[in-house]
Amino acid sequence: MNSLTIDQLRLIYTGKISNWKEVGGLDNPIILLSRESSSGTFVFFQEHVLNKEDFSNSARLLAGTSALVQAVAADRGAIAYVGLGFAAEAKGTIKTLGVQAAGQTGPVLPSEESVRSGAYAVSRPLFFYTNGAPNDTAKKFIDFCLSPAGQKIVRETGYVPVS
Amino acid sequence: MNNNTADKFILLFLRLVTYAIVLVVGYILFDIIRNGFSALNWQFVSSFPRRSGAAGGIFPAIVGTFYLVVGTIAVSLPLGIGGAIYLAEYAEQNRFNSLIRLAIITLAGVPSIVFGLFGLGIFVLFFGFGPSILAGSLTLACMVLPTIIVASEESLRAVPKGFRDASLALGATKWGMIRTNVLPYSLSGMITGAILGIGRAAGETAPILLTVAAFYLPRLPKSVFDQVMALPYHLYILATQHPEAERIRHMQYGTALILLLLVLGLSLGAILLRTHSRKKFRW
Amino acid sequence: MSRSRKLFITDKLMRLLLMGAASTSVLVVCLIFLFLLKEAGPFAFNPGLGKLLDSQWIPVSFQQERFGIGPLLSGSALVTALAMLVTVPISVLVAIYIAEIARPGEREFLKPFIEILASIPSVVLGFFGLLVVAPLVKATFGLSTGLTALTGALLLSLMAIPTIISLSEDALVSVPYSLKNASLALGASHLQTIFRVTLPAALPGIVAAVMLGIGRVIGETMAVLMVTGNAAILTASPLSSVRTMTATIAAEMGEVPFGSVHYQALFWIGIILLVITFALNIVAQRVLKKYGMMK
Repeated sequence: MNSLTIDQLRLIYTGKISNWKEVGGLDNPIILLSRESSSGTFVFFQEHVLNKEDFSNSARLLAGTSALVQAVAADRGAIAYVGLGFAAEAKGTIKTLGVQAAGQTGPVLPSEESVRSGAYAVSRPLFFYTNGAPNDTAKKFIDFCLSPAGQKIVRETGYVPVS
Repeated sequence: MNNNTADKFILLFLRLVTYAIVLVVGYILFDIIRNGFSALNWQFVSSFPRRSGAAGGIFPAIVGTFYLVVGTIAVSLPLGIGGAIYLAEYAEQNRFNSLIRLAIITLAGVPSIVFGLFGLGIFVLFFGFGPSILAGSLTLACMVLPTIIVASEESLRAVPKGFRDASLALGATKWGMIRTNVLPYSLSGMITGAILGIGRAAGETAPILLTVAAFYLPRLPKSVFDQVMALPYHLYILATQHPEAERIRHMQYGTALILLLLVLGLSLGAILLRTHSRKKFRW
Repeated sequence: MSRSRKLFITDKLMRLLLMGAASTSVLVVCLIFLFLLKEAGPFAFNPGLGKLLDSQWIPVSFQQERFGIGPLLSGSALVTALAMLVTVPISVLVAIYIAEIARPGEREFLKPFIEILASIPSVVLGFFGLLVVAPLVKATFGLSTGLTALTGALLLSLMAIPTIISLSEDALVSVPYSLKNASLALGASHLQTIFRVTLPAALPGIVAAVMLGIGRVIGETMAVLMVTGNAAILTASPLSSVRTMTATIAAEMGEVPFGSVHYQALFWIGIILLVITFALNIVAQRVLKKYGMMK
């Protein structure tokens, strides 16, 4: 199987679906992997995919995205949510699933285009925060990140540029 | 039942278990040395990390660990040796001194992460040092204090009573006697304790997690109030949170190897020192 | 001031100074309790200590945050129990071998190995566990993942074994010669003497060693953080993932908002850890003192 609907993702991660055969895969138990609760990605997933429900207790909470990628590559039947850059990095060892949101006709694979257009549902923007107007150094850094040179680096590491 | 055969069997079993442990230890060392060796070169230990640790070297982590260790010893050694001298030479059997001994035993058993919480609460927050070498060293010093006290006290007690009596009989004051007739002979034992303390301080991650450690700093620390990189924390992050974890195995192993060499080198040094001084002072 | 008077004052001063140095241990212990309570305290009023008895640990939630330490206690307990199951027999057997059977040359070879094992940093063992032990456990039991309580227990036993070996060895060696010689004189073999006379006589010391080992294991953080999978579930299966108290603190402390209820709950876990290890230490010391084996 190559894709899941948002609903299926939610049911899997809240523990209501526990075997791959229930979503069109082989008869294997689903190994749930997740970030630690201290992670922003965790909270984002909880809010937007799980509709604010709690994660299943049996989800294994690993320390960082890289640990998740390593675990998915090594373990049978494991699923995890990782940043695009990490998935691109590990292309040969893990499979990226397409996600079909409500109202969409088919699953959407993550890519620069599908994230930019909003078609890929499990995506979020990253923000810089400053205390008041950014001071000189901070402004220079932010400007660099948003400049073509900075955005090139964003693309190179597998993430989606803003402009 | 033939006693002899049963005995031989049991003996063999004991020997097997013992050497199985030796083999396991050996394998762990072998695995890390074999995989980390290829990463070791001058560039690795002398340059800064690049691509957030995926390339370059671990120089700042080595320096950071060094600073932390120096800070830890600077605080815990005087307190530890002083405390040991008091316990071995001055303390009578009273309630207060039993309390001190209880405190030492308690400290020895406190989990390392609890030291981290303590360090966070008192040094980082209450005293306002922020995450810093100061906070980290003080926290590690608290952790290492029992080790130093116990080792120092043992080495003091090993000095024969006759040394003390001879000095006192000649009219020395108590402190004078300790200074000239006891301390010099217990010095190697104290140094052994200090080395063991350094080894522990260098290898611990949990206490520095919350009080000083950072993963990627562009510059070396300029003051004791700066954060610092450290070898154990660097290994932990490289192995579990770095985006290219699968591809930088050699960096992880290299870091592990450097840390291991440091700690083992210290351990071995302590063992050699102990054997040497045992041979030297045969009484 | 005469020279002897100066010396007298110096002497008294030194005594005071040294006593001060010794007292820092007491000061530090008191401060630890104090500061942990200070940071954890407010939780007792809002939402109240009873919340710690909840059955689930869900500290971040849009629904209802749950701060039950039950799953964490069970995780620590399971991992500790498994580790002790492996550690105690091995340690006692090795201690017997080193103390009673090995020749002096052999002993000089073995003891450094034990010390080397004791000095390996826990993060290095955790790293080794992640790359070698976890895949091994996974392959041996045909599991989907090697991040289990068993993997953690194996690493923990590697850490506890040196402690228990050296303390047990001390206990065995301090059994009076008279007992051993009496047994041999009555015709018992060396091994019979060991198992029927020496070992029982050293038992209090060994029990104390095991208790200290348990304390060490419960308090271990990095290795379990890296290999146990960190799932906060109540389970008794060694092949499932668990979450220990120590790993919870280490993992969650980094990003928790200062002063929040979650932050305070983590400090409470720290207090509980402190109390448990303190109690184990006290009991171990009592056992040693009662049987006159205090070092």
